[in-house]
Amino acid sequence: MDASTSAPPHAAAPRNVLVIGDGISGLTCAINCAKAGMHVTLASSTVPERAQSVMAAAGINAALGRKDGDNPLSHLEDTMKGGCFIADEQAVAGLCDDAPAIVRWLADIGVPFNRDAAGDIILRAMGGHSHKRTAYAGTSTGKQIVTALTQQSRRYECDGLITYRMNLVFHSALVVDGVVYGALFFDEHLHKLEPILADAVVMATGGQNGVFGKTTGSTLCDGYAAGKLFIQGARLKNLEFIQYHPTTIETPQKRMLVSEAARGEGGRLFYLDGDRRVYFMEDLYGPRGNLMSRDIVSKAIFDAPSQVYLDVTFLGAKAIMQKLPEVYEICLRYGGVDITKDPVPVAPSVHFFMGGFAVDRHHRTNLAHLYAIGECASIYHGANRLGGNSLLAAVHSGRVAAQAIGEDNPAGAPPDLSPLITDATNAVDRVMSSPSRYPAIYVKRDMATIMNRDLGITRDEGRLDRARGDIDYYLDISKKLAFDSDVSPYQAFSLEGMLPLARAIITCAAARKESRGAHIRDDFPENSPDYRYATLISFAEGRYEVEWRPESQAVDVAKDWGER
Amino acid sequence: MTRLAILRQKGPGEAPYWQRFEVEGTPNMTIAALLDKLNYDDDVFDIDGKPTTRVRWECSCLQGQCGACAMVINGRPALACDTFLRDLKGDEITLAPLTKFPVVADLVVNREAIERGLQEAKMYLEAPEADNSLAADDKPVTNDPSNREESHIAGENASGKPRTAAAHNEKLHDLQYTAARCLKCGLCLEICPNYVHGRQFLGSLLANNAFLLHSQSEERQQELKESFDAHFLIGCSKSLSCEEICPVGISTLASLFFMNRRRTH
Repeated sequence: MDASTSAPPHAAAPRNVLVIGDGISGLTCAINCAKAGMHVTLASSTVPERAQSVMAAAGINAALGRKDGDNPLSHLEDTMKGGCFIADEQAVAGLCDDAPAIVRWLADIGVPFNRDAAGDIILRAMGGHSHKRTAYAGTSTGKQIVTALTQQSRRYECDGLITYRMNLVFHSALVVDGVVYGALFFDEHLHKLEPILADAVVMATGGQNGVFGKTTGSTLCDGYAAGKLFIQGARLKNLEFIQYHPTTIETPQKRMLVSEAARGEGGRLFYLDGDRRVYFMEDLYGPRGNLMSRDIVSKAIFDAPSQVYLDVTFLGAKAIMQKLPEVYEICLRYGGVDITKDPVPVAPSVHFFMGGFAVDRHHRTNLAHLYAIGECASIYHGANRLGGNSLLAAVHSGRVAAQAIGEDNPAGAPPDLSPLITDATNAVDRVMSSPSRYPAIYVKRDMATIMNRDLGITRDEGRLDRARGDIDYYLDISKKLAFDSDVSPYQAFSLEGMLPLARAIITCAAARKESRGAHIRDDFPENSPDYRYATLISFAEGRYEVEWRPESQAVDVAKDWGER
Repeated sequence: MTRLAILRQKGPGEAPYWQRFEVEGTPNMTIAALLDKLNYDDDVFDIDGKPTTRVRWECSCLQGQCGACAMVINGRPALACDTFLRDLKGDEITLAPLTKFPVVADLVVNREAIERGLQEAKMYLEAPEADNSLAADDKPVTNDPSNREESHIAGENASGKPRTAAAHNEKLHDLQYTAARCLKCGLCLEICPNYVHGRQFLGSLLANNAFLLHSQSEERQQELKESFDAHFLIGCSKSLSCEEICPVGISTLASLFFMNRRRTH
């Protein structure tokens, strides 16, 4: 999609695009918009090196189909099956079709994928895939991709097509009557709000980790942006589908991920029955049992009668140091276990959110001129994401959104936005001048406790009711309380998005009275054809309204914007 | 009990001051875990029992992969999430913000100069192949069914060519891979005797980025060399303190060697 093939049909002047978030999806979208001649403001609270994208370890999927006859259709089938058949098949087909071109592009811009002696990219096995199709760059594929993308985006910064703004924390969208005209940011250094107007706004704000406290991911991905936009009218989707990664280790500062690559390279899970090792995944699912999809492995670990261990010792120290050096390092430094000598105790922990903004195949939300990409958008992964598909979806969604932005009608001249901006400024000033010493993070900690307690690997009506009651209590008191603002007023005003998001997650989980993928109900253990739909949730004057639709119809796009 | 002395500062331009705390630390905790405990176990009091504000510091990954929490620990620049109490000596741990960047508050500094400097030094990759390979698809990137071809089997041509012929050179591949792991944390600039905020010299951070781009780029080698000279070579006194301090083990010496070797060709 160079400028000549994607010249925007409606464009008189180059359009201004605001991309919020500078992880892999945001950078990809910004680069592709700039490549098509658009002007991009890339706004982020920090720099790409801090984005959660850099933590993605295991790799990126593409049916490169060389030796074992893999093809995008098989990738599509595995992704649909892994997602328990609720994702929009057409969108997933687009993802899987684009994958080989994406990996080729990434190699072109400098991602050093591991290669064999013939120079071909090496593919590794991952859970739920019928073929080896995960390309990787050492143990830091995400980081390597981020570096390559920054080397591209910097080129457009030098050309003046991308304006890079750091230290800006998303506050709210500038939305009037369902049309988005830009966004407000809190400048963490100047301590004031700043509006940025645009013809199109792209959310690339990552997952909803913060609602669950510290997870395997970045503390920066707290879900506030999705929650705030939900209150402002954006429709969210499939929030009940939360991926527990099967293998994480406890450390004094957080639960850390033991990459699925450890099982991809042959690692085995077992528990002890007396002195006997029970390789329960192999007993249940055969020799490839350790590489079942994450929802299944996590549930089996959860059901195990005693502590589960991951064993890679039999691979030998040489192979471990060569193929899994990062896993070795993390387990040794933070967990005190030498995986070349001993099995490491593991347990599932919150890792990825399949739910997020409801988007159509062009990554448009239900709010006009608002797009969502990367983990904050919900579209490809259905009820459970396969390993290696998140990096793929991050790049692909950035490309798709950039294409759509070039083709859709831009927002017209904005109405008077000053009342919106004045209200927001006054509210933030109130937070900043609060004399209270009570930190908002205490409320966040309680919220995380509630969510982890009642939205674990299994759920039931009793626990979901209890969680709803508890979150409602905090929603109520947080409106009345004043909070300590000496860390940052963001700590306090972010509650206005995070608590409603938590409430929405609980509402979705309670509405889906079946078990599917990562959503397992003790009281409804069976899969039901009645629920082969997306869970859509909207905020309507204080009410949390759930609606069921096929995924392909999750969003109604405004006619004058880009209905197709 | 672990004794902590923290160099605090309310905001930009305000006077810094030392404040002491006692926190219950264990040997396997990191400084990051200790700061979290200090801030959020309860209300915060200094060592004399006086109530005080929470200590500001930056974090994201909490496992040594993102560079957010760079600070000066017991006089040595390091990442808080990767520094364990078990490895620290003495009765008291001192924490101070990086000195080479303007303080935002407490242990948070503004490192925008790093990104702006890399931009000024034009540290980007010209990748015409990227444009070609995308244009060669000759179809829009979309999930729209009307634009879809039949599922095609991607053959050899989709294997993705390495960025340079050097992909078969294992040593160079390893150096590129390591250089691309640069966290832009600023520890190498903090320890560097020659780096001064706002000046043209950008230390080993620039040298390693220049090496990476130079080794990947047929198109801009001359320009990158000139930038390397102007933003690194001219100011480097070869103390190489950056070598030891880099949390991901990037070798400035290797970058330097590579850049010098190439220029004799």
